[in-house]
Amino acid sequence: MVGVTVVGTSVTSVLKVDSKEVQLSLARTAVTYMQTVGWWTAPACIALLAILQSLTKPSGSEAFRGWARDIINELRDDVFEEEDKKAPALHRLTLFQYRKWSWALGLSIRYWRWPGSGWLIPVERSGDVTRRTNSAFPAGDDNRTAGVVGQAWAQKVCIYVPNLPSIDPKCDEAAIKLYAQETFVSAKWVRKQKRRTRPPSRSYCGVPVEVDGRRWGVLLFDSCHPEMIEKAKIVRKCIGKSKELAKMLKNV
Amino acid sequence: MSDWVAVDPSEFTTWEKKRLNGVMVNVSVSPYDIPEAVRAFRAPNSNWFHIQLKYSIPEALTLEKISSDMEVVYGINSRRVQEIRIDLTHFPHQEQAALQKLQHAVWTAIDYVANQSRRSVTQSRLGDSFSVTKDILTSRRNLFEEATES
Repeated sequence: MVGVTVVGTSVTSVLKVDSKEVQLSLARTAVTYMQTVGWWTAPACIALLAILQSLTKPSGSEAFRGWARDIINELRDDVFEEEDKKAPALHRLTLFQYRKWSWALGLSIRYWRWPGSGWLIPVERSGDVTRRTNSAFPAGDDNRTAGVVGQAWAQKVCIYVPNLPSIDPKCDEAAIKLYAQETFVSAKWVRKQKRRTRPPSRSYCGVPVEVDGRRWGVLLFDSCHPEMIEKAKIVRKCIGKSKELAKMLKNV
Repeated sequence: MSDWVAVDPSEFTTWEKKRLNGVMVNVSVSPYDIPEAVRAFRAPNSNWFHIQLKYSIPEALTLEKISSDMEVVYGINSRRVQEIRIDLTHFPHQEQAALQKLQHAVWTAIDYVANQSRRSVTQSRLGDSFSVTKDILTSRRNLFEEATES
């Protein structure tokens, strides 16, 4: 909403300026032009900005996000070992939601894919340190589903991928290709992750999430350990939380 | 009506190695595919035999008549089998033969829903709820025996 207010105020101020008082000729031309077409461009700009903001806004109210965060943190603590709980950024749980349409993702250079072909979008993540994420994945019934998260969604099963190669600044191209192949992503995506402060995880586990019998999204556990010690626990713990999760997600 | 028999999820949450798009991955069933409990009973003063599965998340159900002596109730969205009803009127009197026919009827009902479900998806999937349902009912054959005896 702040963006819409700022743009609205700026456009209104430009419309009130006396163009004869503007010193620079280029700026004067711009102001005159805006004042000529301002009656329709100003409301159109504000409307467009509001639409773009609503498209990129994470789903659910603040109350929902708080509730989701609590459940996700509890589930993460149930699954990971006592020692791992002390490093929340290295052993995480992310809730992804499936959405058929995403104009913001479809039109971005990163994906360049038909906006209505299905997406898994991060809704909430455990811990406090790496909560903000924009790692969305294509997910559809075509063969362009990406990531462990995408495969868990498409196959409707829990998928566990352990012992991934370590991706650090010194790793070679073979390691990057192997990582990409085993996690169902592109080598370009892995190379991008290599440059980040947090190295990509060494093991993943995707668990499908349902509401009213329909696929809703995926819970993705990821760890910097090559193997998740409590892997056997994951499905059992998710069964335990499924009722609470479904009750919460039904209202999103 | 018999009591619900709880299903221990750990019996069915084992991890299997499967090939997915050329990559070997560990796969386990979706938590939603494992029922919480199961029961089988013969309705009082009736020849209908019921097998019911209770799942953790409720959903809208539909009833379909497969044949004159068989009905199946399943989830509209998930297609999970929730109940199988079999008319025992024309079943053999010998217990062993009746049990065999009963199991065959149950499998027919599950396969019927499974085939319908496969037709509705565009790509084959690694796992489905139908194999879990069969595993659970196979491991609890005594439920059928108790119900046919009563």
